[in-house]
Amino acid sequence: MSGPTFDAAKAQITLADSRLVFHCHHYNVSLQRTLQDALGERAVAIQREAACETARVMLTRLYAEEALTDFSARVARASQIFSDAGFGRADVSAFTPLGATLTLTTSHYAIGWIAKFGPSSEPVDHFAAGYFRGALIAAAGLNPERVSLEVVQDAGAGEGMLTVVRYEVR
Amino acid sequence: MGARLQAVVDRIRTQSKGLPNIDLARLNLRTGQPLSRLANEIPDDPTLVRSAEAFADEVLGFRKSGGRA
Amino acid sequence: MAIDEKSIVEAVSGLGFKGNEEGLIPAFGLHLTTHFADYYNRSSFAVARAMEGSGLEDDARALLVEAGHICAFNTFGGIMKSAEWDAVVAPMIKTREDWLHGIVAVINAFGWGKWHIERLDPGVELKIRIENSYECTGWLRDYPVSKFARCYLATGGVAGLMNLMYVGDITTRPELTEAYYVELFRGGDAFHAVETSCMARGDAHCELKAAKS
Repeated sequence: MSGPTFDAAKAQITLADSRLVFHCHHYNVSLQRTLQDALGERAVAIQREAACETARVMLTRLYAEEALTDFSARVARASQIFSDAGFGRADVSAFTPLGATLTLTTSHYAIGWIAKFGPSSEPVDHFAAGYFRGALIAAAGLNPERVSLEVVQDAGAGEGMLTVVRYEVR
Repeated sequence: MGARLQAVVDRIRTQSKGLPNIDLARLNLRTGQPLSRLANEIPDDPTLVRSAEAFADEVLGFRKSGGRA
Repeated sequence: MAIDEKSIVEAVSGLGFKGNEEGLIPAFGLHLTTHFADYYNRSSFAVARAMEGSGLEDDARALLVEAGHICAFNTFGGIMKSAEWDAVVAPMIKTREDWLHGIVAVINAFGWGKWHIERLDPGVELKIRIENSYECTGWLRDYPVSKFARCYLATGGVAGLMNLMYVGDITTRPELTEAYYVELFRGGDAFHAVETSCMARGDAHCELKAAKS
């Protein structure tokens, strides 16, 4: 399996042709709050869609590069990339091509949000929700329009909470 | 015109515990109006005033916000 | 020049930051991610584009740049206080300005594109040229040539470098608290940056200048 590669001449990191950049939780949650201030309710959908498309495009290329064809192996690879990148720990054992439930036992965005702004009454880990929607679409080769998501619980609500997201395949 | 809105802007500008220009930019985006620049020209619509005052209370209270107030 | 950028970039890029058993990367007093440039770009550009023509463009820009200030303060500041800095960069530092050359070398391992100090007038002005900025390569891939500069994160980052060095004093290893942030970025002494050239606008490279306003 290939990991991110660093090109010193271009000062560029890539994984399956997608650019990766280091950023900290202060930046991540501050940018997220800017989206909320500027776009209101639309911000949630924009972030989830951005994460979904980013993951779907990158993983589709990666699965081809690595000749990964098995659904479970594909989802596990997506989860490993998520954890290696510092976004948290994901339990993807309840993923099937017909629907899925994601459980995050740790969430970078939730931890960062609580540290900076305090617990949130609304979900904050839109990146994870969108990323794993993209992973499900790429792993099962689905049309993106067929997959919807519902955040059942979000760790941004307080310390010790899990994030649970349900994905429905129509 | 806009006396109550101007009062909100003045309150944020003088009492901000963070960066007043940033708090005012957030106020403008939250309300969808350039209040920090034109508050005294914008009518004191009750809904807009309520929204601006709620934001001012949030930012000046310096409480940790649980996302959108 | 005492700073050996090549060896710093090699050392930092070789640190191999990777999530621990919790899938987190605690480093430099914060949590790092190896994030996706496409995600940032789609999110940031959604804000900027939604506000264009609304009369709130400057407010959106101010907040996107502010996120860059926060990034610089915490990430650059945290790095310049770290054990890794002491091990890799500090032995090369001969002058105060070497701190800036050192952190720019570190930045060149972040995947943000190639930063180069064009001019440093200590305490007065910093001019940074960026090749291959991730904000601009993302913009140019997805949108037509822009009327506006698009390196929001970098603009905040360049101002943040000067505020850490010459408004505050990161060389004394201060606590990076909210109060210290306000002290550095609020007053009339704070540096602000402008992007004088931007690839997204069709320029050959991006150039940012930080000075006191």
